[in-house]
Amino acid sequence: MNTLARKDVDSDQLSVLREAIGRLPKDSALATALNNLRESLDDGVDVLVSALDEELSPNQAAQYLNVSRPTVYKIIESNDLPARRVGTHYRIRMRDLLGYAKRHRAAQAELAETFAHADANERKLLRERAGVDEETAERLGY
Amino acid sequence: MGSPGRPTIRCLRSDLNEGWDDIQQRRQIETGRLPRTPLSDLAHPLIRHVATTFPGTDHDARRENIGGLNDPMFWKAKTGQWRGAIYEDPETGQAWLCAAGFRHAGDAEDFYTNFMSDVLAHGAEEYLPTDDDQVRLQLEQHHAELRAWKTQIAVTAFECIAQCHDNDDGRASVTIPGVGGSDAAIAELEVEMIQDDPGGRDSDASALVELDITVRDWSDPTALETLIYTICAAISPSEDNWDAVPMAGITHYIGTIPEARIHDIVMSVRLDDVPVEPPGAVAPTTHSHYVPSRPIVQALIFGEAVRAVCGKSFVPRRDPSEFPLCPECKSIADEVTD
Repeated sequence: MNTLARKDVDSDQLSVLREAIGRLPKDSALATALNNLRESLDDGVDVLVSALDEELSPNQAAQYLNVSRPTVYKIIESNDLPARRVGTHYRIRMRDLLGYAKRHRAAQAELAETFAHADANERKLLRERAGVDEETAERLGY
Repeated sequence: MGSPGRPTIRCLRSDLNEGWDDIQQRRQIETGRLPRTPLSDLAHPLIRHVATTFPGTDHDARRENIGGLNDPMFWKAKTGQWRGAIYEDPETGQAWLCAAGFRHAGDAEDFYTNFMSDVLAHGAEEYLPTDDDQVRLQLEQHHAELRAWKTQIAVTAFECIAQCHDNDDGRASVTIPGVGGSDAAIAELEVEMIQDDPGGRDSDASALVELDITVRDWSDPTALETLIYTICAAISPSEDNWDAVPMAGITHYIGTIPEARIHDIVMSVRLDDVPVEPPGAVAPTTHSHYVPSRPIVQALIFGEAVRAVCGKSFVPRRDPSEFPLCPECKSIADEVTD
């Protein structure tokens, strides 16, 4: 895994990158990829550059996902994250880790929304159980 | 029915203009809003008196009816200078304070005489409880039922944590009942707790608490969502402490809980000092975060989650200038600043 840290890319280099992107054909896949890279750097985030088949240890996976190592093992054992065994060790392909990370992010976003919408959810639950429509409930103080 | 006597909305708004022990409540009613409090619990001497003397359960109180009114009949309610007329629903036994008056010094008129004349002349319809009154009562009752259910969830979660603490493998499971004390379980909760420092002597130590919720009754998705955040809120009401981790296609909730909190939970179960009220909301992240600017506007409008540069997912809800900057976001930003 190679991390391209934002701090390692000065503004001159970013200009060169922008220029290079500008010189590529408009529908070029390379231009799209480089543009995504440029946007991330512009936003101040570090970028991971890696071959999709590169293999990682559970420890590295734990760091990437920001979960504990035992949790990574559980995720592997639940078959949600493919991993191959090499003796006593697991090796995880980068592409599989990325796939899982996407599902992880989706679950995190959903949980954040569950917490944020708790109040509205509860009012809805009350109305459903009481069989009362929103307008009436609001008028009557709920 | 078991529900104490309560004012009708009309009586509350029109007849109870003064004598309130809680000005806020009165002001709220004046602006056309009804407080969330059960109407029989409002802070007014006549309301309190009616709730006590018409408790909705068996009672010994002797009652006096307003002579001259028979169909329907009204009871008298008196406290201090307040006078009230009570109607009892023949089917449910629910008592309603339908009309009230305060006898000022020097008032020649008698409340009951006036009330009686009015009803004999124009009928009692204006004073009897309306559909709104009935619906409001139902809302209050369902609200109380939901609060009781959430409290039960909190107690069950506490008991489960205490069992994890006691068991060698750090695991325990409990059944969560459906709303309204129904026999059918809505879900089963399995918890695994990993404690590195159970004594909690290291003040920074945290336990990992993993929640695996197996749904038994899928019929009420709104209740299921309530279940999730109520369990989290009971254990640790802080968004920063919770992660959602998919396993075998099901989301497990993993909390990083300070050992001191675990200790408090275990002790409260041992001392039988468990929650008697539902937990509050899960508090939003207590830091401000740096988030790539594009998603923010949409997230603010639609209440969607965004992802900060430190990795945290949250729904932006509050003014970031009021909170300290997240240390991780800060260190990332510091590296970026040329």
